[in-house]
Amino acid sequence: MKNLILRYLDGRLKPDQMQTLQDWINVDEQNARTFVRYCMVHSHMRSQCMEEDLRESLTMFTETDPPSAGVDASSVSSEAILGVRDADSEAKVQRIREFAERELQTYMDEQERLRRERQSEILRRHNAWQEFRNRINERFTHLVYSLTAYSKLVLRACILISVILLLVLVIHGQYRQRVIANLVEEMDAVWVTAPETKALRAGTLELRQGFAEIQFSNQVTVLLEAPCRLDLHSPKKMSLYEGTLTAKVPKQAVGFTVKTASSRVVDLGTEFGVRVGEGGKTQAAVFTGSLRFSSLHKSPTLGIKSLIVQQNQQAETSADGILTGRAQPLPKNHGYLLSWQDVDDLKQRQLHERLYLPQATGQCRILRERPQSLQEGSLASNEHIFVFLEREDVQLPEDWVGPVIAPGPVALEYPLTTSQTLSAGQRVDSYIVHFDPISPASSFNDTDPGSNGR
Amino acid sequence: MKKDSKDMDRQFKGQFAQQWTQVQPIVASYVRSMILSFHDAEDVIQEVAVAFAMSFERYDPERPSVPWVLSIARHKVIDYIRAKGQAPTVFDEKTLEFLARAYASVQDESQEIQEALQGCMQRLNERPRHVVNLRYMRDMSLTEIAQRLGMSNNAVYVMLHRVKDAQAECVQRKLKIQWKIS
Repeated sequence: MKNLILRYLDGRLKPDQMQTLQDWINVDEQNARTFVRYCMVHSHMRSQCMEEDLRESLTMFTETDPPSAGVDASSVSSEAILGVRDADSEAKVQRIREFAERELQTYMDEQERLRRERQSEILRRHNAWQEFRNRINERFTHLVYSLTAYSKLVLRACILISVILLLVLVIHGQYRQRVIANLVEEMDAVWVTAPETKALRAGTLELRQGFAEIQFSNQVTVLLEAPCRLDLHSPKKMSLYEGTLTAKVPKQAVGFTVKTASSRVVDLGTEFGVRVGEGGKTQAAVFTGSLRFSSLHKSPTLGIKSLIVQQNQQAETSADGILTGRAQPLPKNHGYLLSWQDVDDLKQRQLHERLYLPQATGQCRILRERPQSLQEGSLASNEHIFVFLEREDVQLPEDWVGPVIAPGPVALEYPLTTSQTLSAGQRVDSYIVHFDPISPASSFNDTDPGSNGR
Repeated sequence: MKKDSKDMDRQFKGQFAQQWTQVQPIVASYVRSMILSFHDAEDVIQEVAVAFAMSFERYDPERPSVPWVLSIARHKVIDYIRAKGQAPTVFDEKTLEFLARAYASVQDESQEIQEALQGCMQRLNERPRHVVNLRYMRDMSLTEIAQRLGMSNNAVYVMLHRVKDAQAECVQRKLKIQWKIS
């Protein structure tokens, strides 16, 4: 506990020790008195030191007047100090001044020393900080220089790559955007995605129904028959994935290529047809000129790689791209549509089948649609008699008596007065036969045997 | 009339000086033991002296002056502690009051301790005396003393601790008593 008291008086007690000391003091008066006695020693040491200090100062003032002269430094009082000052001799004043000056000088020296120490410390810290900053700056500069050297190289490479990419994109964009063909004609055409304009750019076309004709910018004409799916690549190249086409290639466009899933057809100056069937099976037929028909099968040992197909010949590949043999003669009813006349004839045949008219020859023309009007002049022709469906699958409400023409050629002298009876309830189609010559002078060629209707 | 007034004033001052001279050591000891900064303690002692002078008219000379002045000192110490902020290393108010009573009860020993200490201090060697002077006379902190003398803080602390312990032991030997520490 004595140590705690002494530590307390030195101001070095920790809070828990302080609490211990306080608790001990409050136990009883005896402890409090002991603590007070130690405090008295502490206080009197302070008092004695202060008195000693005062005595030393007085001794300085009176050192020329020793105690024998009548001044006792240990028992000096304020009156004694005043007495000294009252007896103020020049010498004493001088000594006091000198003492004060020495004390002041000592104090000033001490302050100067402390100031220099502080400045030295500040300078040392400043130098250390400057050195640290310089080192950091140096390292940073070195790092930046290194990065700059690498980054210049990387930057140049990036710029070069960017320019190349930009050029490729621009060229590709222009290439993709240029018009390579025009849709010149179509009949009953139904497109999966209808072209926005007649001008066709590289891309896919899919004809679900009908017929269409496109003309490339190099005058290559391609007639498409639905269902048909193709890609336009350039004026010199296209792909056919499904369907039938016929192409007319002028001399300046020799080399026009049609690529299919299994083959490549390269025109050598010709008029040809390509048909892609189920699974990619491809047939190429030449109507005039010749072409090179190549297999795209990857195995070089399987069959013939390519062959020249001459006029009126055809060749084909299997679905996996193997040429099935040499070129064969083109049959007469090859089924390719070489012109719009062929298309028209095809449509007529289709109509005949649909209208149950087995045949309409000569100058009889069957109309697919009912005409808007039958007034005089609205459907006039000197060359044709028009036939079109009036009503279909009608049940006769009552017996009908009239001329009935049996299937087969009908002669002009056919006795139309011969009547037969169609009984009520029978289902029939009714047609209207329309003839409206433009000019009475322009006579219907009834002497031409070919104009006889059937 | 003026002469009578001056005589009364001189008489009053004489009585106050006499009382203050008697109580000053015990009051100083009390304040210095509660406020460990010598500089602040001297300020508070001066405040106690002023307050004692201001209230001296109400003082009954028949009653002991030490408890009266210690009461003033206790309040001044409390004011000081409150102004500084309650630190964890100061006594609470209850202990301050308890110690004030203890001071009053051992006031007679103060003079004896002071006289005994004079002899003990003269026996100090030069270096401990120098350290004691720097601490108790110049009011320097332990760090300042250590820097001044080129010693470590701990060495200064140990030296002061031993000096105070030796002085307390010396005082007890001279007084031929042993302060009881239970």
